[in-house]
Amino acid sequence: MYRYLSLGFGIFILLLFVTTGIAGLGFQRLAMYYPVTVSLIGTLLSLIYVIQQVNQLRKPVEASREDPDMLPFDKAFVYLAWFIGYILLISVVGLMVSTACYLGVFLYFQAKMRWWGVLISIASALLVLNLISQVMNLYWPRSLLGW
Amino acid sequence: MFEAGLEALTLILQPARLGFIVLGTSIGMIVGILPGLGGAVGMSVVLPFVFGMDPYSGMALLMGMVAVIHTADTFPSVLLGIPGSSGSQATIMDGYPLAKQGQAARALGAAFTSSVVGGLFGAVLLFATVNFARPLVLALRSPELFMLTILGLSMVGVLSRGSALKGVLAGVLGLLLGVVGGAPAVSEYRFTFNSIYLFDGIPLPVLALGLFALPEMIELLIRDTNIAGKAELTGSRLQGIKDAVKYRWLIIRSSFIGVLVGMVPGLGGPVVDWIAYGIAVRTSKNNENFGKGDIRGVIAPEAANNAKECGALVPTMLFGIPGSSTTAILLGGLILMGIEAGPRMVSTNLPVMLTIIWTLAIANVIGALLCLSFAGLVSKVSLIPGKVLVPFLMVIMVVASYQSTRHWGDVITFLIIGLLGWVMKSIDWPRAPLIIGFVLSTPAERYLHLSMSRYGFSWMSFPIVIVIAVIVVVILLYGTAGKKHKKDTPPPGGGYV
Repeated sequence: MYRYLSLGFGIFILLLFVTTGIAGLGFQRLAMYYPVTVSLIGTLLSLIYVIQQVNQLRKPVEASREDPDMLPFDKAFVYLAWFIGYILLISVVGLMVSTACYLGVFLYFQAKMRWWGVLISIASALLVLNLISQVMNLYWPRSLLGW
Repeated sequence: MFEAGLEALTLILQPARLGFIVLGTSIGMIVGILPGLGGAVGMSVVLPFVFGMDPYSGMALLMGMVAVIHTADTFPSVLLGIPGSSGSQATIMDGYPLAKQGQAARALGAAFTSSVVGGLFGAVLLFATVNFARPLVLALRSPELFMLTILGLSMVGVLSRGSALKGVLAGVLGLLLGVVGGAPAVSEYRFTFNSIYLFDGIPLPVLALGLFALPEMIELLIRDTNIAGKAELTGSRLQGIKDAVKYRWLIIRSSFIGVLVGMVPGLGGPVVDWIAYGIAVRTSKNNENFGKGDIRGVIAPEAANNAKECGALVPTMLFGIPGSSTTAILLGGLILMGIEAGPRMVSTNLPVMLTIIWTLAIANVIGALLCLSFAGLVSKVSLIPGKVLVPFLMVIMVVASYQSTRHWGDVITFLIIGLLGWVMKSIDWPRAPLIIGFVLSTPAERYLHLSMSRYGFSWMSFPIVIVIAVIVVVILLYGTAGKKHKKDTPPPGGGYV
C-alpha cells in the first residue's frame, strides 16, 4: 500500500507540475518565467521520483522498504468524513448549531462520553467560543441560513 | 545613550505603564496559545485602545502584546503539533515528538527559557545597534535580498531528512503554491481559477494549519490514544531550563540569527525559525536525533523567533517599512499616538524607541515567567485522550483558519491542504520544506525580477552576493556529504514533520 500510494502521489505531482508548466506559458512574459521554471524543475524531479517508485515496485516486497507503521486508510477516511460533515453543516446551519451537534455526536458515539459529560463539554465549548469571539473580534463562517 | 536608556527605563517602570505591559502580555499570550491567530489579530484587538494614549503607555501595551506571542505560541506547537503562529512552525519538528514521548513539560521549559534569553539578547543587540543599523540595512539591495532568499531555500536540503529528492520536491511544490495569486512584476493573476479568494495567494496560516494540524488530528484519532502515548508525563520544566543552560551558545547563536534575519525587510518573519533550526541541525554534533525529539530542535527556533521581533523593529521604526501585517498595524498605532516612523526615531524620538526596547525586554521576562508557571499544568493536555481532544481542536481549527481572509475559501483550503499534508505524512514526505518554499516563493521572484531589471546580470558579481552564494554552496555541499555517511530512519510513531 505504501509503495502504491508513494507512486500515486508521485504521478499526481508530476501531472500537477506538467499542467502548471503548460498553463504558465499562457501568462505575460514577466509573469511567466518564474512559474514555468519552477514547474520545469518540479517536472524533472517528480519524473525521477516516479521512475524510482516504479523500480521499487518491480523489486520483491521483502527487498523494498515497507513502512510498518502506516496508518489504516479506512479509519482515516471515516474521520475525514467527520471533519467534512462538520464543515458542510457549518455552511448550512452556522457555527454554533453545527458545533453543538458535531461535539455532541462525536463525543457520545466516538469518545463514548457519558451524556452529562457531553452536555457540559458542549456548553463550555460554546461559552468559550462566544467569549473569545467577542473579545478578539473573531468572525464566524457565514452559513446559508445566516445563523 | 546610556543616560537616555536609564531615563526610558524610569518612564516604563511607572506602575500604570507596567500595568499596560502586563495587559498587553496577557492578550499576547491568549493570541499565541490559540492556533492560527497571529500578531495582526492581537494588534487589531488592542489598537483601538491606544488612541489618545501617551506614546510610552501605548507602546507598552502594543509591544507587550507583540513580545510574547512567539513565547506563548509554543504551547500548541509542542503539545498539539499545530503551529501557534507562523513563527513557531519549526518548533513542531522536535517539540511535538518530545510531547509524544511524554516530555512536554521539559520541551516547554526549554522553549520558554530560550525565548526569554532570545528576547533579551535581541533587545540588547537592538539597543547596541540602533544607531548604526541604518547603513547595514541600506547595504542590502535587491540582489543581496534575493541571495538571502536562496540561503533560506537552501535550508530545504537540511530539512530533507530521509530523502533529499522528496525534500527538494516538497520545497519546489511549496514554491509553486507560492506562485498562486498576483505576479509581482506585472498585473497578472496566476493559477487563481478566477476565484477572488486566490487573488492574494494562499494565506500562510491556513497552509500551516492544514499541513501540520489536520494530519496530526487524524493520526491521534486512529491511534486512539493521547498525545503522550502513556498515562504519565516524564521530564520537567526544570530539566528543560537545565537543557537551555546547557545549550546556551546555541541560544546565543540562534538569537543572533534571529536579530539579523529580522532586520532584513520582507524576509524575516515566518522563515527565521526554519533558518535557525536548519543551522542548528547542520552545526550540532550528534544531530541524528533532530526531527525525532532533540531538545536543541526546540531551543534554536524559540530563541530565534523572539529575537527576530527585536530585529524586525529596525526596518519598521527606522524606515517605516513594515515586514509583516503585525508591524504594519504597529506603524498605524504609532501614527495614532502622533509618532512617525523614520530616522527621527533615533534622534528626536529616541526616548520612544528606547521605551520600546525596554518594553520588549520586560514583556519577554513577564511572558516567559507566566508561560513557565502554566507549563506544568498545560502540558497535561498531552494526557487527554485523542478522541476527546480532537473534536475541540477541530472547532478551533475551523474558526482560526477562517480568520485569515474571512472567506469560506480559508476553510476549504485548510481541508485540501490538510489532505495533502496527511498523504505526505503517510508516505514519509517532509512537510517543512514545503512551508519554506511557499514562504520564500514571492520574495524570491520579486527580488530576482528587481535585480534583473535594475542590474542585468552584473548583480552576480556584487561582493555580498558572492559571499552569500559561497555560504549557500557550502551548506549544500556539506548537506550532501553528510547524507552520504549516514542513512536516516523515520522518527518513531509516524512520518517526518
